[in-house]
Amino acid sequence: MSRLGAMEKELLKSIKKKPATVIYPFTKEGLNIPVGLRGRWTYKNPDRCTGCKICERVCPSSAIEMVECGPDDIQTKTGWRPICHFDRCILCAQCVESCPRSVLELSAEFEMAFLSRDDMIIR
Amino acid sequence: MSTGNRKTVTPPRVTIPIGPQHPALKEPGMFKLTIEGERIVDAEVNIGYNHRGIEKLAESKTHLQVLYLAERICGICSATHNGNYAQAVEMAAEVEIPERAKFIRTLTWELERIHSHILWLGVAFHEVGFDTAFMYSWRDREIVMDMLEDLSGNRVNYSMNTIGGVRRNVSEELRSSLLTRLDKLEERMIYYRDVAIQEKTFWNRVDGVGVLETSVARATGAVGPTARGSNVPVDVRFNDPTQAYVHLRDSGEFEMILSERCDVAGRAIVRVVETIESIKMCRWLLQNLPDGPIRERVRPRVQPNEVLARYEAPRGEVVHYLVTNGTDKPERWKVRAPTHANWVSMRHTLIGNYLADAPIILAAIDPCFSCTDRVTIVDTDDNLIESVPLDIMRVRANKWYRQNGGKF
Repeated sequence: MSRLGAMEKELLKSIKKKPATVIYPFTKEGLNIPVGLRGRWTYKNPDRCTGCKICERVCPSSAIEMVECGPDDIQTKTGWRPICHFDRCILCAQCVESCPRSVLELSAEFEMAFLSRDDMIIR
Repeated sequence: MSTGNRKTVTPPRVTIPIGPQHPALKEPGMFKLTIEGERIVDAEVNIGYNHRGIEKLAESKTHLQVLYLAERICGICSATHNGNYAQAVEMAAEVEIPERAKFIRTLTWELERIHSHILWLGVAFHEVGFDTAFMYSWRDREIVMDMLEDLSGNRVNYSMNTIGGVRRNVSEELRSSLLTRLDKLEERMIYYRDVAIQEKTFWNRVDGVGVLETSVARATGAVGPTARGSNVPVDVRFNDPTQAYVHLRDSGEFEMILSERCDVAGRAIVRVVETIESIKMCRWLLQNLPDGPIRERVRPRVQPNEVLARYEAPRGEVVHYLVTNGTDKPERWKVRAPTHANWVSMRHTLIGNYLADAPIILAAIDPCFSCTDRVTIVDTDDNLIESVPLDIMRVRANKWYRQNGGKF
């Protein structure tokens, strides 16, 4: 009997198996998002920020900009607070690590497509 | 036509250019193959289309920032450059990192080697037209990709290393989960090793193809699996170990994988067996993971020093040469990626083979052009290729700065 090759058994076994991939945009089941994923840049404890500018200084891609606190914002000690130009962010989490008061965080959100650059500024 | 009129026609020499932009190439590269009939009689391989100026850019960034830049030299071996740069800075600062950090750093490196070798195996299967095995091996590569994602928080750019240690710890649950998945991975890799050897679709295409004799491999300075496939015992992990490789070597349980075949099959066997060896190394590292801190504080300003950090990347030896000057930025940083060392031997392996075998011979060194591209200037108008020496480069750079007012 002619064989399909060295992988014959494996191939026949796979007929009964479910596909290895998931139809992602329609379902998110089976995506296995890990606990420590470095996703979208967010504030974890915005009220703890002192405006020390360390995050701006360590950022390798100059994604973080310090802006003056507006009247509606939480007032920091120095009067400055960070915003993130997320289009430039490389998700290295150095700002999260360098922040002395754990203000920032990279969340588990991984869907990060936007239609405009202005939408990508995280304030 | 009668037999009396038949005459032998010598086929003319034809030069076939492949690239710089070509559907089969994943990165821009230029190959000019001169063929007679179906045989390759001469080959010219050029790179230099993907120069990104990373080394120059690094001089304006702090050591901590360069780590993330270094990682982006190569997508496949990101932990390689990231870890090796961290290692170079630690050498320059003359600090010793904690044992646990060394183990975790080595673990990331070895997991990366596993995923890189499985990736290569899939590509090799694909290049010879055996796409079934390509799909299946890449499906099982997801196991190690998930492991890396759990370990570091990212699938590709792991950012695991920092100056003075590693950034994330390995929890007890993660450790046991990694060990379970390593068992599964080993079982699958042994299967693919057998498939590669027993399946004629693959084996007949690589057996005796792209021969690189031991003497030529030595003379052209080949590194990594390309050299080891030609029986040249070069492996930094065993010859000049750093980090936890010292413990791995001293344990005596692991050995350098060599093949005497000298052809593409030899290189394939070295890679597949090395993957299985790497899985064993990962298991050893996880079982013997010492307790303690994972990072040492290093001052941002690094004393003036000159260091050469070496590490065996999946493709071969990678060298980072770093000069520090007492500030928090590097004075000069030079990266020698493994493909650069393997590139020279490529011409020799191509000559004398069939044109149809060219893709698998090119793929056999696991080329990574963008890691390699440094300073070759290609004039696209007349295809002129020019290697620029340092002094002319400096004159040009000064001129550019004068014209642009020294601002970026």
